[in-house]
Amino acid sequence: MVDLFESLIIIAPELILAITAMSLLMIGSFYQKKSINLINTLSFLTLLILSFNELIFNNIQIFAFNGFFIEDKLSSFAKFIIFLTSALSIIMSANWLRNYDKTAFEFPILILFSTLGMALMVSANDLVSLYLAIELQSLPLYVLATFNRNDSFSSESGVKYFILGALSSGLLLYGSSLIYGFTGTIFLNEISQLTLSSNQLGITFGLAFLLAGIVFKISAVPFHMWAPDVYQGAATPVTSFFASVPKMAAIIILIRILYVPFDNFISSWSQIIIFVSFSSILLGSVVAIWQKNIKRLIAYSSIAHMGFATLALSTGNKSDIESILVYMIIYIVANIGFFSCLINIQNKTEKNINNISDLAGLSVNNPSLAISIALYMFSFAGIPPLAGFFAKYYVFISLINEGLIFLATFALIASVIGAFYYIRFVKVMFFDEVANTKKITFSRSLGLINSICFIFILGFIFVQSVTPLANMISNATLALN
Amino acid sequence: MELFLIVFLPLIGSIITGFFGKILGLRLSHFISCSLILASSIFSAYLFYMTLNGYQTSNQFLFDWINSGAIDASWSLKFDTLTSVMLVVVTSVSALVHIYSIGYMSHDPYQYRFFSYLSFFTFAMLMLVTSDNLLQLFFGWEGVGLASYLLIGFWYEKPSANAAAMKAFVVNRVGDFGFLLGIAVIYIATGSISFDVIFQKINNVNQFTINIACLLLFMGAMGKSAQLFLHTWLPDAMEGPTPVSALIHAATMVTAGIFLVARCSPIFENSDLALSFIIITGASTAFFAATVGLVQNDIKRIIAYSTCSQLGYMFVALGVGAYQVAIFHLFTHAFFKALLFLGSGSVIHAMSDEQDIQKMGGLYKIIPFTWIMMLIGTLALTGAPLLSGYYSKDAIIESAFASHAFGHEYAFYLLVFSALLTSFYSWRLIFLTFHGKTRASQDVLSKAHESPLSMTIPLLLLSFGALFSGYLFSDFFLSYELKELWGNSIYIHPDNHILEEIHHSPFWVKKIPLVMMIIGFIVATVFYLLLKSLPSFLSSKLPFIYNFLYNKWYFDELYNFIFVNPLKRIGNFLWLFFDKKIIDGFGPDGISSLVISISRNVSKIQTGYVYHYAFAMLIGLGFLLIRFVVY
Repeated sequence: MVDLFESLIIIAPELILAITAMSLLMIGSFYQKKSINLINTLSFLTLLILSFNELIFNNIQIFAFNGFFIEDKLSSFAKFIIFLTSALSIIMSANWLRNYDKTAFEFPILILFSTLGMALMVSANDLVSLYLAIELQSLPLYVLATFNRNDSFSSESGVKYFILGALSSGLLLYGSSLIYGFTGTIFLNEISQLTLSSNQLGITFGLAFLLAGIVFKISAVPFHMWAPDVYQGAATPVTSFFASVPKMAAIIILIRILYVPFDNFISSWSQIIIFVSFSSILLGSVVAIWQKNIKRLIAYSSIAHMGFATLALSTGNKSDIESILVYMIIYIVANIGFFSCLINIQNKTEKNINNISDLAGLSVNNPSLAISIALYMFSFAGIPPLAGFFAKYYVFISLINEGLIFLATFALIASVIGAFYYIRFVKVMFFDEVANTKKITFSRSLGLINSICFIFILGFIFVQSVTPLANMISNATLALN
Repeated sequence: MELFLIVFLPLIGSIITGFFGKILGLRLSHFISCSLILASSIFSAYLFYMTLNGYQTSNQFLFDWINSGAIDASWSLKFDTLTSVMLVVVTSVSALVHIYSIGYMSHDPYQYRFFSYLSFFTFAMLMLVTSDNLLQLFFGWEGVGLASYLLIGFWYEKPSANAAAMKAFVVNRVGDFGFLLGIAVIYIATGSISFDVIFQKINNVNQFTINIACLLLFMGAMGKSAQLFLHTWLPDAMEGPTPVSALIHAATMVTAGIFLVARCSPIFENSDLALSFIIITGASTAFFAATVGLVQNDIKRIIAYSTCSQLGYMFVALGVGAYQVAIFHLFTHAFFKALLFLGSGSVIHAMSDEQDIQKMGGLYKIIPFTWIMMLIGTLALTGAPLLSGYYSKDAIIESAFASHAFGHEYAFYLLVFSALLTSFYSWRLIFLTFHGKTRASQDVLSKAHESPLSMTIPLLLLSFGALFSGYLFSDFFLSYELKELWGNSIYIHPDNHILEEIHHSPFWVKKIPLVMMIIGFIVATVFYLLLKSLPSFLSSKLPFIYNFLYNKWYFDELYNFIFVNPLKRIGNFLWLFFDKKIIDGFGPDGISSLVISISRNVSKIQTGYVYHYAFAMLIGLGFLLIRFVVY
């Protein structure tokens, strides 16, 4: 155990983030819209520095505040990704925010608070800090969902998200209380030692409720119903944030919950996970076909992707965490790349671009945008040699190694179905009649993000071999052993 | 090294003109493709010269192709006397045809494609004749088939050209199937596809297997060389540009069957059954095609039937074991038949693409050079003394007489009679085209002109071949003393002395082809120069025979009735019922419409009411609890 001062040192990144967020909030409320550029820049820089901090200083395993807080390779890795993607989300929204009303400065601050919540979430080591962290990341998200205040869709989606989120928090809390009641402890690492001597049924019951609360956050079936409405209603930069960062945090905490306290219950929870991922892939792939709205389609697509990511959990083998992490990173990069294109298109056109058909003829006027989107779609669909192929490949390999051939076959078929709607983007952009004749250029920041993502997706094998990414992922995987 | 260059220079030319032709421009593309082929033909001539001075053989290994289990096939080039003759025929005719095409195709916008195909064909043909194993030979075999398909259908806007291309491909496939089976039989029997190994081990194979293998290989040869029953594609193939007809459908590709049998002589020599079958098929084809040629009116079709007939002659020579004689006729035939085709191309070019000889006449004044060239070709084909056909064709007839094989008498009499027919239809073509009063319209005649130099020079060069190739090389091919030059490129059974025996045939046998040729000439003169009403009188008096010949013995109709239509009906049934209804209906179409309807219905669950969503969550949780926790 470490003393208070050391605990503060360990938690310093989160503290810095909290202090920055609060100070920026002060600046914002005094200078209102004038301060938007400053706030954007500062919050971006803070997140960037913090993410590199995680890259450089990461510990094997260390507890703070008497075990409320854990810092290990997995949480460091997760925070690195979370901080970095939040920082990118802030840049991506900058142009859009400049044309927004006077409350625009709240946007980066809300992102900072939510990111703080997520950072605490991936480092939570007991049920109470877990709950608090989840609430801390959720509340700003509810606000972000309604951020487009003048739009009734946005308000509606925020309210729905809030109500359903409250319900899921209730489930989570109930599950936590059951587990505490049956084991007598709230520390995740202690629960696993006590489970064997406690009432098994009670604990599994609690686990199911707990899982329901977390699965809600990654919007997997059957707790997915909010996602399409919220994705569609929220402003595009918000959707982009929703689709990437919170998923990472929720997946990490899902991994931690399943493998740390409930290591002995693999046979029960792997069934639940198989059901959840199975139905997510199926529903996400099939229902997306009927969607016409781009963001709604992305919502279903993300449901399917979360299904694929959790599929590797169902093996109950800790080494398969690696394929989940690879999957998540590739999914997030492709998502950010796609949204950087979409936000760019929406910023530069007066007409609303909401439906896939609005992208018709994009290849004629804006070949670079069209090619980028096509690449991300092919990656989502899992076409080799793009990154998305390897994401799916690693998951399938995990499944096959564990003998889950049936699941792998099924997931393969579903991904073929899913390929249809991804490739429809390509068809609309390249082969449909031109609807939009305006030439769109990339704004500098979005163009940069897009090109980074483009290179990552296109040359994933190469990226994997020259960057320490693979090393980091395998270290993070080993953290739970 | 020369061998390597000979084979691969045309391929380089094909790639350059095919892919970069547009960039290089017309003149440069012409220059590149022609000069590469020309270089190839000069090397071939050099190698042929070396061969004339002494037997040469070499095996040039390129790289491994298939090396799996018992099959060991490599790409390697085999060179011997047989190959050397084929090389010189293929590359020289190909070079002349390339040059000729510059003029003939000058108005065609897709010349790059044409030259690329032509060069590719040459490459494939060279691959075929230099192969040292059956598989590589089959590669070349299919390569020339592909090139032939592409070139027959070169003018793909014409439906008739497309149909002809497809017909050539399909009919050839029948033969190729036999060929492939033959390769398989030989592989099973000897455990190898390499010629050297096969020829060593073939003596240990039982007679029945050899018979089967030979008949199957000959089936492939029948397809490629348009022998009776598989000949129907050749006349239709005349839909392609005339240079193609000259190169592929007269001089080279159609002789691939002859080459195959000659190359496999160590196998065929062991099968009397197959040899007799070859004699009878060849003789029947020679006679059949000659009769059909009598009444055709399309200038190219007449020559096409003549080709078919001459190929029959060559097969008879192969069948009686006179392989050198067959190759000799192949050699001379390449020159005079290419000359005839290119000459007829010149006529067609002059007559604004008119091909019907009934609409020509009196052209010798307008295109005298072409007339002289066609005369030389005709004289060579009909076997006028001292010209090339005289040596080779007479040698075939004599060898048919001298043979002891079953069916040799049948072949001898048919071939002699066919010589008469050949003479008749050839002179008929000349008289109708160049002599008498013109039947062409003034409009066409006013535009008629002698062809450009790029077309006349190849004609001139080929005419030298037609005039002198027989006289110069008859010793090389026919002399019993010089058979050492052939080394073991052609195997002759110890009991087979046909090359010697033909020199001892009776006087009347030696002279009868000449007599037949003169009779044919006289009859044609009477019919088409003196008593011009006689042909139409005969055709109206004997409509049955006329129609029978005019409709090519009703082969196409028969095949349509027996094979094409029933197969079409079966195909239609399978397509409409089996493929569309069953496979598509339950397969792709059915599944996709199922997925879409599921997608639409599940989308409806997403009502937008928050209490529905909450309900779904709780139902889901309840399901998880009941299914996975309680049970």
